[in-house]
Amino acid sequence: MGLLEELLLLPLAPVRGVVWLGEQVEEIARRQVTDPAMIRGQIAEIEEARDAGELSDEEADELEGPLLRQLVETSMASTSGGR
Amino acid sequence: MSTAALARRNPYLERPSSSSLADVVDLILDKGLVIDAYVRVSLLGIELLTIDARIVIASVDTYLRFAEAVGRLSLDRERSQPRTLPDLLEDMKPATPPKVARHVLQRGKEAGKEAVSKVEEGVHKVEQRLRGGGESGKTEDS
Amino acid sequence: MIPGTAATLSGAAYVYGIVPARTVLPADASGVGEPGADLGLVRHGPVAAVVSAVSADGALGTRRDLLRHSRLLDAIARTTPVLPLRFGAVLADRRAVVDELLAPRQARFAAALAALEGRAQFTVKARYVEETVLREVVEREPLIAELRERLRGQPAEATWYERIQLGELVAGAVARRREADSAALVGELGRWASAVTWRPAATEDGVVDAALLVERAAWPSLERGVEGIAERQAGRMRLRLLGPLAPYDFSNELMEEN
Repeated sequence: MGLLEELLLLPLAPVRGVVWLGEQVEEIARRQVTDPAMIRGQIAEIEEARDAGELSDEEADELEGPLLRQLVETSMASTSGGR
Repeated sequence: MSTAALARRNPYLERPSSSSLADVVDLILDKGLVIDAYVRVSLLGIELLTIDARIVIASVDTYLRFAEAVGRLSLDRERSQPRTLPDLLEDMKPATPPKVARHVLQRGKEAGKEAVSKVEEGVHKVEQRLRGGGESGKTEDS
Repeated sequence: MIPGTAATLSGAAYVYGIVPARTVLPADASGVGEPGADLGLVRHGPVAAVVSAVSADGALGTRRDLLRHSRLLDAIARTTPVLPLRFGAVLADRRAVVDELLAPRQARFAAALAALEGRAQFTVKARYVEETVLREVVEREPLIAELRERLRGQPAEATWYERIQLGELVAGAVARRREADSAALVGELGRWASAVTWRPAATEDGVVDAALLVERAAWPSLERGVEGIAERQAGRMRLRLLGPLAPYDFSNELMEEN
């Protein structure tokens, strides 16, 4: 969901008037940044660019690193395994 | 491994010879057996994506995008040459995240602040909109 | 280490999946970590764990690690039943692989592997050609066509709320189409499968992601069948077929059943 769209769907968001944003923006942005589907899409684009030669292997790895780390981290956390 | 968009035998079906990285992360990080016996693997010391890293993706509102896309359709009997899929996809896409991410990597904190200010800009426009004035609600592509 | 022989593990073991004890591993695969570790089996009765050595403080999670994990499992799945583990399973040592992983679940693993005999997973991902679906929606929904017409030529600033409303209607119509197309597609795909599971595609232009468990004898028919669907939906949907794969979407359920 777009950032703007999410803001409009906030509970108590008035049709007109001021929307109090503050932490809501950060929360929504955080959710967007960590959304696995979004991250997978970004990875797909980086890989396409890598294959097409638009990104070098180093550049592609550098961009992908935090994305993969985020996905692996989320995966570990959700298994609630690990001891 | 590149994903072959056109299989030799059948041009309609994407049939890559092996799963792409995007496919793989879905399959092995989200699926497969989970056994609670295992020791937690230590992860690479790469910074997690956090809001502090300011890799914020200022995306275009989905509804506005749909409205715009629908508005652009030509429904006349004699249609002009249909635009190619890549053209359409280019127009419809929100700010391409890898470009944003590359921006951040290359310029560090400076770009991060820029990303944040784009969000604040978008937020400001929302406020203006709701007060009944201001320009288009569409946030700028980066 | 010759693939298929008992793993010579001195330390921590990274586990990829569970296979029948008689399995011969692919000769050319390498394990996770740097340098890519040798692969081997830890057997216990009729089942075995596919493992490689990892250093206790080694960090995992690179692109290379993820690809090696999945490609090994998919290579095994072409010829042998395998229960794939989620990425990141590390056990303290060989003893732990037997005592904590294999022994407590030996019977259930064996039963699940038996159910997988001669089968592999195929995944079909369908996405809309957005312009085509939007066109369908405008042509078939009078309310949308009307609102679109009313907004034509109007300045964007003056019609912001109406555009939101139009977009909302369109999004709703597309969602209804998505549900109908998903049901139809899954119904068609089920013809070639022993089991099927699906979920709505995660992307905005997505239709459905479907996983199928397919017997080897049916693999050619499945391929031809999906090609046929892709051809019929050309210009309206794009289909992507993956497989044969390890049964990622089915392994948990197979274990729960047993």
